[in-house]
Amino acid sequence: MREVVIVRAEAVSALGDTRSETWKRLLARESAAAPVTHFDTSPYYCKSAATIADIACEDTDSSRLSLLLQKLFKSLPNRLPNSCKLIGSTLKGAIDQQEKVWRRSEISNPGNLSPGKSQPLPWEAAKYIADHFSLNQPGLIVNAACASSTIALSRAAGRIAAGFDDCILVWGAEIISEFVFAGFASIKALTPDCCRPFDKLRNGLILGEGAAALLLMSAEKAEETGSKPLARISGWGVANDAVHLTAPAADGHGLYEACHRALQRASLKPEDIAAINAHGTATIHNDKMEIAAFTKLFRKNGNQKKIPLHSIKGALGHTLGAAGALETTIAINSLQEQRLPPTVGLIQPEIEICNQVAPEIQPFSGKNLLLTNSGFGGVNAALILQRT
Amino acid sequence: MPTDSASTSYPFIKTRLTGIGWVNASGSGRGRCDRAPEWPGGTPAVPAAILKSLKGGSRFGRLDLFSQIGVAAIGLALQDAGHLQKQPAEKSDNNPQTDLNPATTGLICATTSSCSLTDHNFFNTVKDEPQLASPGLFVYTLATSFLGEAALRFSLTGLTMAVTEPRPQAADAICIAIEELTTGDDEIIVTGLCNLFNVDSKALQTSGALFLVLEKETGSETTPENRSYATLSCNPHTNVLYCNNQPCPDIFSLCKMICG
Repeated sequence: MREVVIVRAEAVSALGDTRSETWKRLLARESAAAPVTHFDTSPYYCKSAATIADIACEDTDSSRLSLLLQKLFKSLPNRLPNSCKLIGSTLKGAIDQQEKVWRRSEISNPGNLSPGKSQPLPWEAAKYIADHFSLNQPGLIVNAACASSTIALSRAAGRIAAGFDDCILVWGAEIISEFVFAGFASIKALTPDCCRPFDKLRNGLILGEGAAALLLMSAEKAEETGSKPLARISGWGVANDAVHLTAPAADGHGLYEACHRALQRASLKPEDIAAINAHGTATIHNDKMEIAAFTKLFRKNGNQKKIPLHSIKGALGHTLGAAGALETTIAINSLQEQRLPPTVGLIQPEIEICNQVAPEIQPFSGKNLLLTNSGFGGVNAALILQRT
Repeated sequence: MPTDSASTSYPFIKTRLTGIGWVNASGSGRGRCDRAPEWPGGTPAVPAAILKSLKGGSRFGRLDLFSQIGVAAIGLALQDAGHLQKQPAEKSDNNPQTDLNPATTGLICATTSSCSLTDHNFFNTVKDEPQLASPGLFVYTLATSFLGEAALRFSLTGLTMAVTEPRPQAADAICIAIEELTTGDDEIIVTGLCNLFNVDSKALQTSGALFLVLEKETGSETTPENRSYATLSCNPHTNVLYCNNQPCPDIFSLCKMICG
């Protein structure tokens, strides 16, 4: 199998239009949570999210998504290397545009859904990106709930490692729409106050919007094109809990299996992991599940290895299908600087991980970082990033 | 062995096709019992016998139609491959159980419509009374919700993902499944498509769910049910799909080649 490297990683988040700005403000313990202003939140018990201020477009038929992607394009080259492909993820694409169509419709017409008339929302987003890079094909669009872009990265890494491709741009993008906001409110997953990943008093997530793009290459292609590797992707794994549609497995067995598969692929042992970027949504059940999985994974001969871990969702919100890609860009900085950003919102950590998670910057020493995401439908995905 | 420009540098990867199941407006079927499915206009529906058998498991009645047809077609495909202990229609109480090693089975689905009708139904509840938006509908506003339902119903704990495609073909999803069986962690993958279009559209003929069971080539075909229909291969460089070495543009023509 060939070595897979990330040679470019860019991000737009509610804390900044670039990866470096986002990183800087994460280290400063800032949170982007603020009252949502682009739709009326008065009917909902939660009012806040981590939105991007200057992508509002209420008066037109355009979408916040196109403005978000335009921001992302500013940090990316206009042309991709020859033969570069695309793999991306967005759960709902320009759903805000569709909302406007539905709101105008007096009859129960679901809108333009038929092939040839209008394309699926994620496909249109992918085509928008392909057009920007003058590519004929939008490439693969992965949907796997909140693990979508993590699995997109796995797909890309797998194809490059197997020699099927040399270069793939992986992207993830998600906006905050009333559709999604109302949905998460309806299942009582949103916090009415502060998002506190891994805190004893956590009571829900905040939504976030953001986009990220990562250019993956084989090590040979990177050398050939003079691209400096930022990190390697050495392992990946996916597994399903198969226990409940929306709730994660209480014992974390699906996440454990995904991590186990990633470690196997990377030919690593749990003790080789130096830091963890956890999913950490701050819902009661998700964080409990992750603690159970990590506890099992890092227990050896009765001893528990305490690996530093963090979640960025208290600062940037949950960006759903884009979460894995966005978090991977942050994890690259973590590996390079050997420190994890603070887990914003954390006050009183759960007892099982009280020495692993912190509201301050956590230094660590080592070259392997485990990154995980989980989602509805029992999906769990894990990546292992390696410092170059 | 198919040949194309990439065959010299990339080996073709092969898998066995062992099960076929579908649900559409004309009913439901399995590869070993029925002719290749026709795709008539109309809204697909899960036949009562299948619905009843699956309803014994939790939540089937709460599933949106998109999920119902998808889960039922996956169940039929697994049964056709000999991986359900009993045909779904014969089960009346508990969830159907598979005889698969659950750690090795994945789900990869292509979709064009995704769950758009459910999206629309959910948003109607948001429009009407936002504070009473339906949680029961919201959980089915993901393209992969029905895969989650299938995973828990049939104890499938491998890779779970959907891919969006502009036209119903499923060739990419099948190629990904073949690739995963070759380079990934799963030994069996259920792959295919699931679509539910607007009833007013001209795309009705493609509404429905059609799934295949693909398995790694092991050489251990021990039971009649475990016979292969065909060998599926894919050039991973070009993503061209082959059925018994014949190029195959989409899942519908693949089924016609096999079932007649």
